[in-house]
Amino acid sequence: MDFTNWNLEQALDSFQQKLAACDDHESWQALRLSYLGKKQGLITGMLLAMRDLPKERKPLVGKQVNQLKQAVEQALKDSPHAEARSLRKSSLDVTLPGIRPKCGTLHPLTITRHRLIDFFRSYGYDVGEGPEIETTYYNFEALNTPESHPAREEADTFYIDDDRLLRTQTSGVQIRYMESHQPPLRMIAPGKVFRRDDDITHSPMFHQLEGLVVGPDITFGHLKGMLQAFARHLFGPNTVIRLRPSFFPFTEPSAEMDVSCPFCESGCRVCKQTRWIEILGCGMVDPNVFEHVGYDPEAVSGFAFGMGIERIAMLSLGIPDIRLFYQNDRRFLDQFRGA
Amino acid sequence: MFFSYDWIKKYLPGAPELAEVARLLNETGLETEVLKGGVEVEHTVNRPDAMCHFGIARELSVKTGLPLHEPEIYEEPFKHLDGWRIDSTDAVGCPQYMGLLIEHVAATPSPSWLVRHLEAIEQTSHNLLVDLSNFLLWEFGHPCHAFDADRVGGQQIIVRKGESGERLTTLDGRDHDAEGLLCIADDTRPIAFAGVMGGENSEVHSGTTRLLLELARFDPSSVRATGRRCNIHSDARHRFERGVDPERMEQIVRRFVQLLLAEQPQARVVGWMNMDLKPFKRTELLLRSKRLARILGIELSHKEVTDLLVSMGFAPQERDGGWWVSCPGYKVDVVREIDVIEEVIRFAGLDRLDTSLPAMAGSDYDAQSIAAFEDHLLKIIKEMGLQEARTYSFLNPATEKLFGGDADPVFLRNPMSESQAVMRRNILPNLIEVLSRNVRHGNKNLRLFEMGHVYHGQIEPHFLAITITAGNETEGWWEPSNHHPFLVLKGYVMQLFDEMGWPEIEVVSRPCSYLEEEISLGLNMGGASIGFMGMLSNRILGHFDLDQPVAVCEMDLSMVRAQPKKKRPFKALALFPGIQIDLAFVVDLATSYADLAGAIATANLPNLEDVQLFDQYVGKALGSGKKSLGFRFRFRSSERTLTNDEVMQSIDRLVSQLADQFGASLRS
Ligand SMILES: [Zn+2]
Repeated sequence: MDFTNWNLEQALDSFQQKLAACDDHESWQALRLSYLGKKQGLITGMLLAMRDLPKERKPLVGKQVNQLKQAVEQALKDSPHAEARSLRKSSLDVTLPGIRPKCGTLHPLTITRHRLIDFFRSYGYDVGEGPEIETTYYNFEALNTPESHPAREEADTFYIDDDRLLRTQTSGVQIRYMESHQPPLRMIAPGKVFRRDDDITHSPMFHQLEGLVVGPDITFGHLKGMLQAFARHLFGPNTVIRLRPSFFPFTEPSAEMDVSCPFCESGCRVCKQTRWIEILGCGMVDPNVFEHVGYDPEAVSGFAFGMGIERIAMLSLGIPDIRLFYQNDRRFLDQFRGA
Repeated sequence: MFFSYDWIKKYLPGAPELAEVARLLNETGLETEVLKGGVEVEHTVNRPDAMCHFGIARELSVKTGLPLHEPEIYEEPFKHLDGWRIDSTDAVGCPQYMGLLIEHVAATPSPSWLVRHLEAIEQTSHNLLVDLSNFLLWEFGHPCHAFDADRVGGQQIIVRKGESGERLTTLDGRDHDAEGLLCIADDTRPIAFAGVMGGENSEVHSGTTRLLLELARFDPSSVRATGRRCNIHSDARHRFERGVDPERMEQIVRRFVQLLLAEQPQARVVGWMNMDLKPFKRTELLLRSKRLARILGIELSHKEVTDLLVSMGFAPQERDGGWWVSCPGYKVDVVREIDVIEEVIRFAGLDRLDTSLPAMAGSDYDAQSIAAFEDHLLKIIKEMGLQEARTYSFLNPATEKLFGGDADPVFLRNPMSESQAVMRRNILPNLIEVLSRNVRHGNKNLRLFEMGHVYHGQIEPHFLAITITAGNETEGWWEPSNHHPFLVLKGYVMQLFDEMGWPEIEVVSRPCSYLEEEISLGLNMGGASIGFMGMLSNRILGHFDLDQPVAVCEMDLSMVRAQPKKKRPFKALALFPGIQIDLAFVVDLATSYADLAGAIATANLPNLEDVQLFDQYVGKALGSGKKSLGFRFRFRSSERTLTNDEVMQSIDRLVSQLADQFGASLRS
C-alpha cells in the first residue's frame, strides 16, 4: 500500500458507515477484526506498510493512521453492539429474583365462595345470614321435616339440647328471610353447617350455599335455566347440565343436578368414567314450606337449591381430601394464589 | 340395595338390557349403578315402593310402557280362623294385622329356584318357611313374619306395648327390655317387636308343623322408636319406617300360600284373621292441568299425562280442567296435588323442561350486608400479607377454658369426640393449634388469620383472630427478618384500622388469661373493649407444644362494625416547600417511644407537618443503659416558605425541653 491517495477523512467516513450498518454483536466483531485484526486488519496492515514509506512522509501519515486507529477503537468501544450482553458488566445482577411484595392468601373455601356469590349477586340475589346454633323448628319443622320423618334421623345432627342444634343446612336462613320479606324475592344463604360425619369427603363442619327464588310465576324451567347459567359460570360455556329426580323434604318436585365432566372427553377418575358429576340438589319449594311462613302456595311458587362449597372447591381446585381444608398447612394455603 | 336382573325380568319379560335398565332407573330418580348380574340402587327415603324387585319392574314398566307381569297367587277364599283371638291396644301403632294359619308344613330345604334367587342377592337360604318370607320381602317389599303357631301361647295375638319387667330375646340372639315398645304378644309374653324383629321364643324351627304368617301395617314412628332403643337395623325396620303398600297385603299372603303349596302340597290353609282398625282409603284429589303447567313451565300433552296417570295406577277421570285421581297405596308419599305433579314429571322426564330465566323483579338488596363487610375486610387483610385459615367451630373443653374464661360455653350433647365437644368462644385456640401443627411440619414465618362466628350463649359475635410467628428465616434473599413478632402484629392491626376507615383504637395495658403479663394489651374503641393483642404466655405455648414466641390478636368485629366510620376531610396539597430535619435523641433505655413522641406532640412546634420515628439504635457506642431514637421532622407552612432560622429556633426549644424532661442528648 502506498498512501498517495489516502486521506483520513475518507477513511473515517467509510468506517463510520460500516459501523452504522452493524446491528448486532456479531457484525460488530467482524468489523473490529477487519480494522484491528492482527492478521488481516486494515489498520494493522497500514502500520506494517508504513515501514516502506519515504522518511519525509512518515510523520504525517503516521500521525493520521494513529488518529484513525484511536478513532476506530473509541467508536467500536462506544458502539451499542460492543458487548453481547452489556448488562453483565453492570453492578446490577438482573437475574436475581425480584423483591416481591408480601401478599397474603385467601382460603380456598373463601375463594370458591366468592366465585359462587359473584354469580348470584350479578343476578341480583340478596345474601342472607342466620345463626349457626339453630332451633329444631327452623332446621326441621319449618322445612317440612317433622319429628316422624325418616329424613330427620339421617341428618345426623349435633344437638345442644332438645330444642337447639348445630344447623345441618342453611335452609333455616331462607325461612327467616321469607318470614321478614314478601315475594317476589331471590336470595342466597352461604354459611357453615354441621353433620356428624368425618371421612375423606365428609367433614363434621362444612360450608353450604343455598338459594331461594319466590315469585308469582316461578317454574321448574326457571330453576333449570338458572342452574344452567350457574354451571356455565363455574365450569365453562360448553357445560351441559342434567337433572335427575330426587327427594328433599322441603322441595317437591326435587332433583339432583349433574354437570358434564369439565375434566375429560370420555371418562376420568373424577367423574368415575360416567362423564357426569353431581353438583347440587334442588327443587320447587314445597307448598307446606310456604304455608309455614304465611305465603299462599296458590299465589306464589318458587325454587330452591343447595350445594356444598367444599365439594365445588375440591372439584374446581383438584383437592383430593376434605380434611386438608381444615388442617391449614401453609404449603396448602400457598397453593391457591391466582386460583 | 342390590336387585337381580333376572329376578326383575320375572315381572317385566321384555325388559331392556341391564345397562339400559340402570339408565332408565336413574332417569326416574333411583340412583342406580350396574353391578354383575343386577343393579345397586341407593334409595331416597321417600321410595320404599322401589325396595323390591316387583317395585323396580313397576318403575320400568311405567317408564317404558312395557306390560307388568303380576305373579301367580293362591285364589281360594280364606276362612275365618276359629279358636284364635286377635286384639290390639294401639290402633295407631298397628292399624292392620293379618294372621294366616297353615298346618302340615315342614321346615324342609328350599327348592333350587328359591335358593338361586336368594343367593343372587346375597341372602342365605335356611329352610322353606323362612326363605319364603324372605323371598316375599324382596319380591314385594312388605316384611312378613312366620311364627311357629304352636309356640304362640293361648292361640292369641295381642298387639300391645311391653309392660314393666317384660323382656324379649330377638332372632339375632340379643336380649332386650320390652317395656314401652310395641310388641306382638301371645297370652302371656311378647313374641316379637312389631315391625322390627321376631323373638326366639316363637321362632320357626326344624320341628315346626303349624305356621302363623303375619302380614301387618305398623306405624313408622313406633317402628323407629323400637329400632332406635334396641339398636336393631333390620330389613323390616328399614321398610316399615318408610311405609308399606296397604293395598297389596292380601295378595302377598296369597302369594305365600301359592309358593308354599307348590312345594308342600300336603299343607292346609286353616284360616285367617284380618284385623283392620283403620281401613286404608285412597286420597282423592284434583290434578289441575293449569297448575301442572304453571309449576313445570311447559305444557305436557293431555294424552301423555292421562297415559302416565293410568300406568301409575292413579285411575284418572278427566274433570274440571284436569284429572280427578285416586292415589295408589304403593306411592306412600303421594297425597297432594304437588306430589302427583312430581310423579308425572318424574316419568315424563326432567330433560323435557326448558331452560328459561325468571323475570328478575323486586328483591331487597342490602349493599352494606355483613357479607359485603366481610369480603372487604378479607381483601384488605389478604393484601396486607396475612394468610387465611379455616378451623372448626368446636374444640376440646380443656383448651377452650384456657381462652374462654369462667362462664359456661355451649356444649354439644352428642359430639363425635371429646376434641370437638364444646363450641368456641374464641377463634384463637384452634388457630394456634393450626400454627403449632405448621411449626411441627417445618413451616416458617406464619402469619395466619381467621374470621368467623364464636358462640356466646344466645349470640354469635363475629370475631377476627391473627397469629404471628417470626422465625429467623427470611422470606426472600433481600430481607432481614429480625423484627419482634409483636411489632409485626401491631403494624398489621394499625394498618387494618387505617385501611378499613375504622375509628381510632386505644391500646391500653390490660391483663388477659392467655397473654404474657408484660405484653398484654387491650384494644378499646369508643370506650368499649373490643379485644386483645400481645404475646402468648409460656403456659399457653407449652399447652400447644410451641417453642417460639407467638404474637396474637383477637377482636370482636361486631363491635367494630357498630361504630360509625371515621370521617376523613380532604387535605389541600401544600404549595410551599418544606424543611426536613433528622434528629437522634439519646435517652435511657427505660424511656419509651411513646414518652418522647408524646412530648414532641405536646410541644406544639409551629408549622410541624409530620414527625416519624426512622431509627432505633442500642449499642456500645452509646454506653450501657442508653438507646437512641431517631425522628424525622418535616416543617411546612401553607402560607409561605419557611426559613431555616425559624425552624432551628423550634428545634432548639424542643431539644432543651427533652433534655430537661428525659435527660435526652442529641446523638453526635
Ligand atoms: Zn371426567
